[in-house]
Amino acid sequence: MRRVAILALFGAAAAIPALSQDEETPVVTEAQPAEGAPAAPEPAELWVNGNAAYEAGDFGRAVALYRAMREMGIDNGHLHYNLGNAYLRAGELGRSIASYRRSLRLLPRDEDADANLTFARRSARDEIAPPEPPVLLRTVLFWHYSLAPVEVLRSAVLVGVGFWIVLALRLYRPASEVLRWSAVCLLAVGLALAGSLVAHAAFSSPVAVVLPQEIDLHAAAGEGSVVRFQLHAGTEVRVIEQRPEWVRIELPDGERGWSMRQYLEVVE
Amino acid sequence: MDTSTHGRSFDWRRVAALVAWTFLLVQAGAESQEPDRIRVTVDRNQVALGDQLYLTIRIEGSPDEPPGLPELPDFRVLSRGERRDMQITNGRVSNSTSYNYLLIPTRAGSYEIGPATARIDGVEVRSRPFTIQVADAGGQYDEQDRDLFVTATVSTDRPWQGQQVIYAWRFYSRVPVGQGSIESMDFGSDVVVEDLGDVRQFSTSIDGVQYSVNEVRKALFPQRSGELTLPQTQLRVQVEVEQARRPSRRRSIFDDFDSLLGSGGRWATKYLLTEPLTLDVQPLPPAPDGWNGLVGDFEIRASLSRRELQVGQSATLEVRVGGTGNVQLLTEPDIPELPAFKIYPDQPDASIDRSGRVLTGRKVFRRALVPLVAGPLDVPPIDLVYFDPELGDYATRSTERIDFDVAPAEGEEELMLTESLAPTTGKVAVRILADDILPIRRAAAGIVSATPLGWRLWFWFAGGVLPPLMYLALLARHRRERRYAADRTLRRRQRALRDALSVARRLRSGAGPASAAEASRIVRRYVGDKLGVEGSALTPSEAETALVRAAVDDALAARCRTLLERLEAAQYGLAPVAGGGGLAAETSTEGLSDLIKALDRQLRGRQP
Repeated sequence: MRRVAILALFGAAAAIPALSQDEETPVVTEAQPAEGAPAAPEPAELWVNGNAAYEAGDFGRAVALYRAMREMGIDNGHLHYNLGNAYLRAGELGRSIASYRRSLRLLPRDEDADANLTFARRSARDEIAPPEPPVLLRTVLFWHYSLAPVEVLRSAVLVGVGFWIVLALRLYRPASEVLRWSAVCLLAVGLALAGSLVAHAAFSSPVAVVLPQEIDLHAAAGEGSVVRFQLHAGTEVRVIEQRPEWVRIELPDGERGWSMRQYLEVVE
Repeated sequence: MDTSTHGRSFDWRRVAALVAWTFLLVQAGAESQEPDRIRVTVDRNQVALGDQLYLTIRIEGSPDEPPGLPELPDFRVLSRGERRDMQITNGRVSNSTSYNYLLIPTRAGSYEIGPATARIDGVEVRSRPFTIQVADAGGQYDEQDRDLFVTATVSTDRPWQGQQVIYAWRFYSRVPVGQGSIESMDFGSDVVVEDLGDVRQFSTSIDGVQYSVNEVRKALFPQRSGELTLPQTQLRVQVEVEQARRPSRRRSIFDDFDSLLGSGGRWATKYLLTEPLTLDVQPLPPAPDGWNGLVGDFEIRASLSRRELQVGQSATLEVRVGGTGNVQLLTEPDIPELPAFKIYPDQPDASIDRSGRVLTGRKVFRRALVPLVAGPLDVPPIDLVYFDPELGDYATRSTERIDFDVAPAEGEEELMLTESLAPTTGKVAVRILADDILPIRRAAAGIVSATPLGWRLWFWFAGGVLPPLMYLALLARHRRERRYAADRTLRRRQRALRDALSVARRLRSGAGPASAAEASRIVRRYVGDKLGVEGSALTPSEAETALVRAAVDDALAARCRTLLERLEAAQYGLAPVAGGGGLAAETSTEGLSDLIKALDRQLRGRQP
């Protein structure tokens, strides 16, 4: 039994960091440069200065500072949300919509990001519904669309730990029906969580957002090709093929066309 | 200078005249060719009212601009596009452009179609004029026209300004018709138009002839006085002009199948026009006080939800205004001041009925009245002023005075101001005046990556990998414990070699009887553990026998027995442990280890 207790303790320890991720974090109001800090700015300094530039109406500088954070490898929904705001204020509708989409992928239950994305979409000129997963898929895989990918991953790990603990307990209480069904349920939940991640990675299509005011969609990947139709800034379309310089997109009605990659921002 | 030849003098005047004539002839020829560069043709030059003809202007070459049409005041002209042709004849390329128009005659008569003009390469060219005959209803197309015609009527041609005029457009047919559409029914900005229901279909008889009628009704409200012209309404309809299988004009039950499957007859597009109508709109006389633009026939009623109430209790005053006419202008009539009441207005309830033959409507205005004093109170008559076209003057209708008694409030009861004003149907949706994005985030979470990095990544990786590994280790241990429980000698057998070697390493080699006793105990214990018997009770002979039974070589078993015997002798002082012939080598760690390892190699894997 002592060994079982050690295993249980391991599971509990694994859960603690996951819970602490969701706790309220303090508001950063002023950059705190460390003693002997290197010349390169710290993420906190960029964050604070970016927010200050946004508040001062210098949206271009705010975008540059937020982007610098992105280039440092920082990737979270709050940063994308602020970046979306700054882009929208700076008049870059397409990039703002792309940023809000990234923010919602990382913070899927964030109502502010959802509201701002809806607001930005109102400015898009083309009457094209943004690509969304089918209702059936959203209903069946509700957890996948309600949780961020990292949350799904953590949940899968925690459920896996619970599953192995229950299996270990069954070695000493093999006749327990509670442990048996607990193991079955945890296995099902764990497979569903991990399976949805794998399925999403394997089958979901990226979305592209139109950046310039107007772009031409060609019949083939080449500027000399026939222009089939045009799209306008902020329109979200499904990406079906990507090449180094060209991207092939599909509209909801099935129409397809090629655009130069520089005119689109692809949101994975 | 003499310029004569063969005796004749050269006549410069003849040559000049010849050149001049040649130039004139060429010029005349060129001018005569000019009209051919623009040609105007029609598909026929005799038509009936309700029919149409196609006019084509063909221009050789590329005109600088679209051609100018001749004056066609008695035709409706609809453009039907243009076409460009290119011909190559004997290596010479020629272009031509054709402009197509559809002409619909609006009046019978003979019309000369004047020249069309165009400018080609800066030169204006003209076509030749020609004549078109348009037959009226008494002409040769009379019978055909009476199969199909349209009419437009108004309920009155001398309305008052703002009066409701019913415009009825009817399409009469007694031949199979296909799809039809009204292409123009525009009354201009001086008339407010309200649709009166959908297209009505019915049958009627005119001079004994049965017609199928489609009727469209509209309510018109002239907005200014004076003469107003209601323009022609044009209908485009597909008509079967030739029945290939049954030339008889009598309809049969097969006609419906023919229309469904196609009878093989010929269909043609007909354009039918109504005559323009003129309204002489009379101006309204000077308006009295309280008139808010209503023209028609209206009535007003007022009622109170309860006649007996106490001070502070509320009753609903309901004023209903409705009638026939320009009901869009129905507004709340002026309600006299009611100083003895506290008044709470409510949203009005409006309804306009467009399904009848005329436009009707009503509006219900409600107010909650809360009496502030006790005693007999009343709501005075409420007047509604409107212009009555039948009378040709303004009229006033009034509600009856509403009397009721108000009792003093009981005790200290609070005012009952919450009586329902229901039914309230005119709720107003909240109107968003402006919108903006939500503010940026300031939390420190913005500087932390959502994706696990560094030690956190390894932590979660370990969380996914270690539990199954730990479970497998636990499972292996659990199974081994179960095997030990099932076979009590198993643990001793598996540990015999390790325990024996461990003890042998601590043996005090070369000492006296104590070393001999310890070495003997090590060997006997090993043999006992390995063979599943109590080793300390084994005699040297029993040990040898047991080893031989366990398939150990006889020599090795004898060596083991001899060693045990000598150790026993040394233990009891019967044989020396050290010195010549002593047991120092056998009782050393290496000696015992070699013997035990040799035994273990032969006993490995064998069950006791």
